[in-house]
Amino acid sequence: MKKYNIQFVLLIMLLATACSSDFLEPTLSTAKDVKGSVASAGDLNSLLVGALDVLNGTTYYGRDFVVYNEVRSDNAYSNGNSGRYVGPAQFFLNPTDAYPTSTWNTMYQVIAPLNIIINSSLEDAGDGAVNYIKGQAYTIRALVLMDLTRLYGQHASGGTLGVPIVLEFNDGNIYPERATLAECWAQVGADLEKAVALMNPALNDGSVNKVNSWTTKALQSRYYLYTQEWAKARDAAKAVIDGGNYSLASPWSANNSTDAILELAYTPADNLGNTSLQFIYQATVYGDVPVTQDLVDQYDANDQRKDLFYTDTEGETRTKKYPSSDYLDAVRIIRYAEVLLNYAEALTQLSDANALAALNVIPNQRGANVYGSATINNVLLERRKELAMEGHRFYDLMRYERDIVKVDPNQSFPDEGIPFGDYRLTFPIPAQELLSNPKCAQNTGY
Amino acid sequence: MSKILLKLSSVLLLLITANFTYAQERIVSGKVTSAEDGGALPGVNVVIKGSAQGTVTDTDGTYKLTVPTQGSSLTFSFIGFQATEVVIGDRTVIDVSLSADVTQLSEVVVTGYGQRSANSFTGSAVTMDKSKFQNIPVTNLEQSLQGNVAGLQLSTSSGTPGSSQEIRIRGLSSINASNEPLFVIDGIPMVTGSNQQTTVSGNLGVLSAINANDIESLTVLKDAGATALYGARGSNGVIIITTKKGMEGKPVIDFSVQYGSVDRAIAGPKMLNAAQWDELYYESLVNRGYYTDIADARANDDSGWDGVTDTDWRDVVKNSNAITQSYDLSIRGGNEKSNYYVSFGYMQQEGVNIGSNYERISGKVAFSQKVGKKFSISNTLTPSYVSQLGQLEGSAYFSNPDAAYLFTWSTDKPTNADGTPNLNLGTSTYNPLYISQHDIYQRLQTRVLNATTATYDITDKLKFSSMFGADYLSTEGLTFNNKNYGDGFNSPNDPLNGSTAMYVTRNFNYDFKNMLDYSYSINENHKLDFKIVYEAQKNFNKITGSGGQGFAADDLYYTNSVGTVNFGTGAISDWSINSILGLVNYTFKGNVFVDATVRREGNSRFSQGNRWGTFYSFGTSWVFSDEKFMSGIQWLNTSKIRASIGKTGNAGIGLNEYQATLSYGNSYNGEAGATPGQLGNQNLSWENQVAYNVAIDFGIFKKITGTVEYFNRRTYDLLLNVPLSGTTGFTTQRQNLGEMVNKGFEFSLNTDLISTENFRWNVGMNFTMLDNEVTDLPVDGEGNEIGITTSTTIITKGQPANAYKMRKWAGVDQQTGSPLWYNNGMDGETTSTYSAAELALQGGSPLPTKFGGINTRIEFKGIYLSGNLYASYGNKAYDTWAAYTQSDGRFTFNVANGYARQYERWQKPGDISPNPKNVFGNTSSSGSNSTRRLYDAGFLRLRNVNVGYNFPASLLSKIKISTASIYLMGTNLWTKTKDPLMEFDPEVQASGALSLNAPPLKTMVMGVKIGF
Repeated sequence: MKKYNIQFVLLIMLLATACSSDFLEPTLSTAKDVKGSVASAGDLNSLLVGALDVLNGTTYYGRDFVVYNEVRSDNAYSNGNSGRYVGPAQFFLNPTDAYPTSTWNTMYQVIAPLNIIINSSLEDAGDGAVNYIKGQAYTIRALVLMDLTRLYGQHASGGTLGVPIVLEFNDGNIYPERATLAECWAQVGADLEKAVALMNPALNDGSVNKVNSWTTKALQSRYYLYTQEWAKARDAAKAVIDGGNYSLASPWSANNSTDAILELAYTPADNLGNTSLQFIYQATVYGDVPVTQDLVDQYDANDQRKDLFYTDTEGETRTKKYPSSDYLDAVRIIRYAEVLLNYAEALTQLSDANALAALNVIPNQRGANVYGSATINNVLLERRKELAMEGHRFYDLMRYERDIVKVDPNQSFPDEGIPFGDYRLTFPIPAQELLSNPKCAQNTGY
Repeated sequence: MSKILLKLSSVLLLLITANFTYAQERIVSGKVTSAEDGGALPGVNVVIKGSAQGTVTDTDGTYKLTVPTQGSSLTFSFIGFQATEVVIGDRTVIDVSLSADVTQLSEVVVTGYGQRSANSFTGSAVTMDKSKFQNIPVTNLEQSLQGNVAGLQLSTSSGTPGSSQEIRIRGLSSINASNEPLFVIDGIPMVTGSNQQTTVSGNLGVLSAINANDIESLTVLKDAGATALYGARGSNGVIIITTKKGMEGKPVIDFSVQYGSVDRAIAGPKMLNAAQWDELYYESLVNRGYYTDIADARANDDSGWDGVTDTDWRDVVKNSNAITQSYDLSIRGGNEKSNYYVSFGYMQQEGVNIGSNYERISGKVAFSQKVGKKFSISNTLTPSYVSQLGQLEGSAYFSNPDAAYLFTWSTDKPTNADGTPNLNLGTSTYNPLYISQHDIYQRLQTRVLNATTATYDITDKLKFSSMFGADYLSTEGLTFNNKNYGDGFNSPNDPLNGSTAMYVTRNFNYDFKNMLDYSYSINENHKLDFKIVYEAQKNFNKITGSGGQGFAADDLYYTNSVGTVNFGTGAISDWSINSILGLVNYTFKGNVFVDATVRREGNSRFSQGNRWGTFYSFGTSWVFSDEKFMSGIQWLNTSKIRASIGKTGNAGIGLNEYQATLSYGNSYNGEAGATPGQLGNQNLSWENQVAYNVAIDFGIFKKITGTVEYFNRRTYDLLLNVPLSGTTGFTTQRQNLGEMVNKGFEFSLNTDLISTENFRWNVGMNFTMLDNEVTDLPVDGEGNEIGITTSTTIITKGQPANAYKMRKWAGVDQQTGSPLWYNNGMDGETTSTYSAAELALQGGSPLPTKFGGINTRIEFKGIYLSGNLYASYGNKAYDTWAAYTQSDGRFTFNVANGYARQYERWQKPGDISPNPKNVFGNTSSSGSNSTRRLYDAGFLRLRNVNVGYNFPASLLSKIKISTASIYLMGTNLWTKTKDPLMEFDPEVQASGALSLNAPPLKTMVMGVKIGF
């Protein structure tokens, strides 16, 4: 009898360890299954916040994308202090390099959550909240596609290809082809228009750290410069100016100034630290990106913006933009000064009688000499002066098919410069993309 | 079995003795010990030569025997040891130490689920001799496996003491899933790798918690037959550790101490000295076109060199006084009913880089008790505390001392006139003298292992046993950067004022096993053993961490004191495994054996429908030397052939990978956000392997034993990170695709060249030939293979995994001094335009294709000398940072120093030179990825030399000491690399990348062992 008892106990022990079926069910502590996680305006907003967080990462607006457009111009160079931006500054990139690869991936990573928002079956409850968020998503998607098209599209290298346009999350098409430049620009324009239609300005909450209806308008004024639809650019810019929500602030103002339309914020608990713009622009232990003397020389003696430069202990000239050692300077995506310049440019192109007055708004405010005529060269010069080191210069030159000219011995590209149309003016499509996507073509020359 | 035979034979012997006792006799007594560790050997047969008279030794190894006048010598024999004959002469006390008999097949194989006699074992296993892993001055016991086990290859990811090592048994079983073997200690699967949040600053391997001197036996299981019991966890091989237990008898106390020095195993790359660098500086400016000639350059530019300073930064970062020391004390004893083993150990080892240090305090309590006749219980508790002070490593961090010595110019002084570190270096690297004093890269680890086993003999033939193992690990990491200089400083205008990051990672793992064993003999020719095992294992991991910046004062290290807390983290994760296993052994006539297992295993890493897999193994062995028809062959000793086949799974991937998730780890402007975390794959399931193994184990001439083995392992449904178009928002997706085969031969041979009482000479060797090939890969929509590439390697069909693929360096253009590459990536036409050259397979991969070891031991009258030579070749290593250190002027004068061999460069048309024209800030791409940076990684290394003396027991007994020995040992004493360009240590991490990690160590120690 005793023996049977023991055997019975043993049997129970064996069975007891054959736990319940959820023994093998894993815990998810920092993530949720996609299914059932997009069910409210709040969920959509979480995705929007997530997209903004990727947008302000180091490999995109947090640093790299801004720096690419300065070190590839006459504004700045790379001293290679920490080995950073040497390749882009030399116009020397390989498809396997980290810069083209990580920025490509990051840009599409921003688009992924936006596509979930845009294609969500969630209907607006009538208060406009869901539509507003969708409009915000359209605006950012337009911004990202515009950047993708500029960085990887073949405008500056004489081709017609843009980038793959992805409008749905996880739609099963894992081999998207590159659209043409025209198709890409059309998609950007359509997204911006859709955004304008979806966003009720009454729901704008005044934050410059997120997209509101004015952001969309301001971006439209930039967009139409690229498509050379000058009248539309003028109208979009004018709408922002007439809206009266913004005004010029000091040449480099603190975060959240009257000049800010969209700027990406950082917090003490969430900033880029040594991978920030501050760390690369200022004389820190990285400090790879000083400015050229040529840029400093553009400013009149009385121009307030001339004070935005200093010489560090090594004798290199640096910008005072993005100066904060707590890394809390918000990244300027679009600000009122640019809208004023977009307006002036559109008027100049349209030979509008008010063009010169529009162009001189900013120099007047900055204490600089005013221009005598509204010419494209003057517009470009004023854009260079006002928007220096904010990631605009390279594409301003490319829009007008200018060559990249060597203006400073510290610039490391060949002395003869890079003529417009050269393949090096376009980033290579990452090798990793070509490998996994047979339908994606490489840019000429790489 | 063998024990019963032993008892029987000794009883018989005693009976016989009683019959043949003569009148004139004397009494001889003494003690028998093991030559290897000096431990007492109980149960040794002591027989008077030429007679059947004899006795067996007691539990303390002593014996007493009445010897007739005509008895001239005694024969001492014991299973597993060499029989030894001793002339009695007129002695009455004869102490003998027996050497392990390596010419016999080891008697038992420890499988972790019990022991099997070696003859009946159908799988492939190697049991390591204790002398190969005990008292070796290494922090992680796995370091002593290299060269001692055929088929096993170890890669050193870092030489920082305590760092985990990468082990590959029989090649790569997987491409993206785990390749690491399972460690099992006292029947409990261990958590391996490292238990920490970030690997930026090296890593602390959790196995370093184990004190090798507490280990009784170490067995490596290699084929599917042998590892079947462990299921998927064992698919990359299993390393079985049993720790020391108590023994019946009076208490035995052992004490050992070891002390010695630590150095670099090899010197490391020689860099340009100051004069060379200075000369190249001006030349590079002229070559760039800034100046017309050198004189012009010297007149108008300044290299910054004072003309005197010439620093070898290799010496600066090195701790020339680094030591290693260890102390171990153990006591064991017991009676018929219970026994115990208690130990305490302390070890310290300094790394060769300044500031690097490792300390371990470990203890162990093992206790076992018999309750009644049928029930017994035992428990082993192994707590340890490890402290590691490491460094930043693995990349060109400014604070990494291994980067500092490659990058910092020889023209910079290490110290100022007042002896303080020079903080004004020309390069961006930080002075390691200051950093090692003021920054902290620390890990503290507490590990408690507890294993409880209970067995109950239900009947003679039916046995139940239950094992519960708990493994608790708590690792605290602290990364602190001081506020005055280095990573915590930033710039004078914008001081960061120091920064800190601290993490606590806690891991709890339990494993619960219940087993039923049933033994059934049909008749004397047919015997069957059955086993059923149920096992459940679960792991919980919890991380908390915080960090910030801005300290008000020095000597404050923790988040509590920072001005700005800039991160906080907390997360949990878990995994679990559930399985049931059935095993049958069939024995025919005691010399033919058949094993079969079937295992059903579930793993939480897969979705509900794909969680469970069924695996099996089948093995057989035939001891043909026991057959009657072989008995006439005198030179043949125990020999067998064996074969096994089995299917196992591998689930060694990240957690939750099958789920399509939104990740909630993002925040923007204080608001929590979500982004698509992973694409997921509901179809994800087991990676499968089918492996077979055929071997012959032989013994000949009573002197030589050996094994020749062929293995073949096909892995299919690989858990592959398939590259995905970045346009999806993801770059990879885990899929079950592709196939890979590892196959090869293993040879091992052991021979006793000389074996007499006073002089013994043994030589052993093992050699492995390995062939790894990817045999199938996924294809894209157009049917093209989706290879998995890095900038220097590719995974592609028909090649070994991670085959090197890059541009091929074609030297320097004699006329222009431009770098050249082969247009087609192989041969023929060359180009000086980097992008015009094609990428091509360059042969070889990071995985060695041939490796092996030779070891020998010579013993003469208690003095012994042993050595172990290891060779490995067939693989290549890639010099990751040579883009900077071999840049021909691109980075030499603003970022990093160059290799000394850069001095030999092209200067004028007609020069034949290995290095191109030296041009300041050039864009020639000469330093870009190419075979110029790919080295043959073959090497030969003297891993271990040991000279010692075992004091004779007769001498020691007078001072009440039972054993004593003294020794001198060196590890990694000498290294020869095949490629003269390979100036780094050739024991490269498994990826083949030379990544600025702390170098492996050379140690020289002296030790003393005493037993009471």
